[in-house]
Amino acid sequence: MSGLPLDYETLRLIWWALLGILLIGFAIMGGMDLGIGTLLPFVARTDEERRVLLNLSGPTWEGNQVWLVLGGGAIFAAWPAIYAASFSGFYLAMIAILLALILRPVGFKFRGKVDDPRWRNVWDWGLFVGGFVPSLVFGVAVGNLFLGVPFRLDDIIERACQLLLVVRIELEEPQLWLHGLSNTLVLWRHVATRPAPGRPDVDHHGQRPLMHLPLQRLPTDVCWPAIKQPGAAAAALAVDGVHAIGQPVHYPAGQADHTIFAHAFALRVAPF
Amino acid sequence: MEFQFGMNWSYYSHYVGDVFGAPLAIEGLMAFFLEATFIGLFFFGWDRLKPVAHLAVTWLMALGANFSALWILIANGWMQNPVGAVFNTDTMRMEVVDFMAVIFNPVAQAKFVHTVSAGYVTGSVFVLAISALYLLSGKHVDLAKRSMVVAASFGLASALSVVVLGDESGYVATEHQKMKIAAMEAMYETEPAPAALTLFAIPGADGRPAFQVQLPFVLGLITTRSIDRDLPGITELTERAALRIASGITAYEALEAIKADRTDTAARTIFDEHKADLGYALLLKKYRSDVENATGEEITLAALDTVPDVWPLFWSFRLMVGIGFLFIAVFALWFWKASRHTLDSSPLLLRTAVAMLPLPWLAAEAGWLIAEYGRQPWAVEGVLPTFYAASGLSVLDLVISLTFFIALYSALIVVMVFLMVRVVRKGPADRSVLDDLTNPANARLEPAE
Repeated sequence: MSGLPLDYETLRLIWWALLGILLIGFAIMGGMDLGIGTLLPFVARTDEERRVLLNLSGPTWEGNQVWLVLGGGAIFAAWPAIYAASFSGFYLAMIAILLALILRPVGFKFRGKVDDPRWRNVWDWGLFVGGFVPSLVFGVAVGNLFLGVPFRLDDIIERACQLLLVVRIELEEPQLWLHGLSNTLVLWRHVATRPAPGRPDVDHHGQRPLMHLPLQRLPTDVCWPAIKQPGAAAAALAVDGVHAIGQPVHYPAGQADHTIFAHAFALRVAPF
Repeated sequence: MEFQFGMNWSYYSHYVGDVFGAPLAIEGLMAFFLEATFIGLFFFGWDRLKPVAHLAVTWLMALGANFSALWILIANGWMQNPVGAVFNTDTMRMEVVDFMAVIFNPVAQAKFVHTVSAGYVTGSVFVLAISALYLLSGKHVDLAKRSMVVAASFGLASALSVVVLGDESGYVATEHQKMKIAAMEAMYETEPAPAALTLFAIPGADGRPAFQVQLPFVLGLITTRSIDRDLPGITELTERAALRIASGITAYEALEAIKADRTDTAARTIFDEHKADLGYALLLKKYRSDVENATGEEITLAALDTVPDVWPLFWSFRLMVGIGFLFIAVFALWFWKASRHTLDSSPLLLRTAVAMLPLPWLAAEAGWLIAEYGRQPWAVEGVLPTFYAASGLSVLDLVISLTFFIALYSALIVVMVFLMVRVVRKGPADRSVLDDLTNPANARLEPAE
């Protein structure tokens, strides 16, 4: 690719910015849709109120969700090593997010198809799960990254000069849960303070319950201690700008070999 | 799926991510944004956009869906025929050297036309079947007839496109594509050119065909577009694979020498000569970790691993092709009936059209099986074996994810079929078919009409 007018540092900066924009785009736009799903069973009581709330994101939620899809694609294209290590390392958390996200399109699409309160209630709770679980797990995952993620060398991954992140959502780390919770609360507030266009009669259900919560303080109180932890993140060593903290734990190998790729691993670590 | 590569196939994602991630990201950027943005306008804009604007929205949405197919099949085509990329000894992975070659990969282009046409056929069969159902029951007759005319003409063009512009043009591009053809045809021995096409066969006790009905010359003509080029059989291809494994071991040894001493130019020369076969050496990892010490017996075993399961491919191929030709005949018949204005003349034919409804899905699944199961043992042909591409997950991880996915998708398909049947029963008069959500604005308009 020597024909490109851009050098590596410039390209890297562009991709960092791009990824930041994509994920912020998802947090702002998709986050509002997640918040609507989460609030749906609580702030809107009648079917009409729920329909008004859903119509806030009805025409746009699909486009908004693409920010997330593209965020995943951008990580894959720009940093395959990060993509491979983090997505397999956060395996069960990712599964929880995906299963919950699957409930969203079907909730949006199927809800209105049958005029029966029980039917609609089922999909409303589906939308709740689809909104609440991803925002909680995203928060926990980002909290994990700020605190540092324990990792080990995997007998298979080591072939790839790569680290496997072993992320179990650690129950003994209350900060992680708080981080996840603050994430969901921020999204809630985002929704709750947005008026439904042209329907002042139903707005107040959306606003009142949450305005009592001290939301403004939550992000600083909860997030800041997490950010102050030394070491920014946790992913593969082969990627600039991401540092490993602590010592990698080397687990003895199973049947796989280490001879050929283990050296590559050492080479990549050396610049750090 | 986009997330699955990282989750379940992390070594794959790392090893070929430089090549494979790019089309996937472009798909997100170009196709998903287009489709997902305009699908909202499509469903909600009927009463709010001018007719021309709504038509433009519809076209952009369809364009997005087709772009999506293009980029994902460019990615998939690369797994079948990995062009435009080489192994980098510094980063220990595959990297792109010629992105244009990746985009204009002949296998990818053939796959795109074939797959998208198959999608159009599926849509046409669906419209034809539901319209036939309406004609049988005497409901929505005008709409059903108009729909059938469109479905028959568009379906005929698409069905011809699936078969004629089909997959076959890429079949001799690579060694494993040849293996796939040989397996699909249960062709163990190399046949003198032009090879015969097997219509039907019965496997014997040794797994080889004991009895078969063949059409002379046809296979050779289709696949090599010639009458004088041989089509290699499974036995010959296995022997060739053994040679490539031996060459791969040389590449592997040279790579180790390069890593021990980066300035070793002799080793680099050897590696460059043999690097095309490095992936073949990785097939031996199933049998031993120190590949360079592999015995002749292990090489033979690894070579036999390059043969995909013959009979599932053999029958899937016949099922797919049979349904494909049936669709050409059926659409031609309905096209003729439409031009004669005799669409509702035969209840028997209408009933046949309804009964055809599941066939396009069956054919598509069979085609997918041939393409991907036939690719085994490779994740990327000649580059990375499937067993070597997976993440280091525990069995429990996989049990959990599979259980939840199967349960959720099974439940959703039940709901989906229930809703489809409901919508078909209600017919097109129901506005909720058009309105994606229960829009209060539309709901208020309804009673006035």
